[in-house]
Amino acid sequence: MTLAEFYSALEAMGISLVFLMLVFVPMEKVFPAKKHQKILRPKWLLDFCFFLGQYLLWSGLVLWTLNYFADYLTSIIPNSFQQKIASQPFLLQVFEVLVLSDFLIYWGHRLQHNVDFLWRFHKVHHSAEHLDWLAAHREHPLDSIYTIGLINLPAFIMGFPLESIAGVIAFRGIWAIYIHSNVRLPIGKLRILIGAPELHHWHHDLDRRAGNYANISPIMDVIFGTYKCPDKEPEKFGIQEETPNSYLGQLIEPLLPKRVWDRIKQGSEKL
Amino acid sequence: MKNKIIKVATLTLFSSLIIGFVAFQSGYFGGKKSSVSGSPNGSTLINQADTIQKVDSIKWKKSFLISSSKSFVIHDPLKGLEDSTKLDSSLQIDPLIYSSKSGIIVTPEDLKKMVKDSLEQDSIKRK
Repeated sequence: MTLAEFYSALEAMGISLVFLMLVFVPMEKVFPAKKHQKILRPKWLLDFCFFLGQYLLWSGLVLWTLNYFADYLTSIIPNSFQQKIASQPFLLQVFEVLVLSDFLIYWGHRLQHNVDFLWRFHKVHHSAEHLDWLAAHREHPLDSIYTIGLINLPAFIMGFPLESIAGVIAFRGIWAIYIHSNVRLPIGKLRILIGAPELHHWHHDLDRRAGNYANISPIMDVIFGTYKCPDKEPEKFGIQEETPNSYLGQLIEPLLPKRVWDRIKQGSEKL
Repeated sequence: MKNKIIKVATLTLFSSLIIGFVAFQSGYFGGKKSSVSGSPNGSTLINQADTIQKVDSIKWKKSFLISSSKSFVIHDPLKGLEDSTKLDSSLQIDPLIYSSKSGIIVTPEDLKKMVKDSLEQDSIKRK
């Protein structure tokens, strides 16, 4: 990363921080899910480190990996297949891309909760005990590569230019942050179509297999029987396992075998 | 009443900012279109390098793919050239070299073109 690129990332981070605070802080104050949760609640600094890390360190790595992955797929997918897809009506292509990516991310996400190897990385995201817009950024970079790779996979395979539905992508991006926010604003039956914080909060329940794995629309959860929406908020968020309290610890722990990590932890406790 | 006004104002601000953001990311107000979906867990909103520089797969394969010896498709070097770099249409000849057993190698029309061309080029050189 050159100095100019670093300044550019710093600028993007600053603008995003101000924008996200403007969007979500008033909502969290006026329509709070947990009424007594403060803006600077416990572990906000840890989540802020994840926020900084995403903008300044990891997004470049994630995009580089995706680029590499997209180029590889481009070289192996037959032209005739992509041409057939491109000859379909545009709206049908949009529908296919969105439904397939929702389907993939649903099952990919469900696997993250059921396969121990994937859970090692995904549990970093679930270790947040206080949910808000900032906690949405708590994600291990390798977990980001997995989820972003899956959500973009149908478009790569189909050769579909996602920039032609940039608005939908932008909405999906900011809605993913919104469903983590400390907001409770029931939207009635509409929540079956676009999802809501009240659904996703139950996904962050202490139970590792609590359900609600879908991305934006909970339709996949309804179809596959994992939809869950009680009328109240969960009592506690987080996971039952013990996780490191520091940013570095959260990044390194999933990469190491458990006994190695335990030895490091014991060593640091002695110091 | 006061509470109601605050709630309406908050919702208005929230919806306006989201609509504005979506419009910006769709290319309005000088925004840059993103070509990558972010993480469903929530990830960077604005990234200076969030467009994947994908090579157009169809073009790439047409220009650089060399057929297998078993596929019986002979690579046509003129096909990939842009119009500006192509030869004058009157001078175009079939670039395929036929087998000694296939009969026609050069048609009389092609021969005339070639002769004319060589004479013109020679005359230029002599000057």
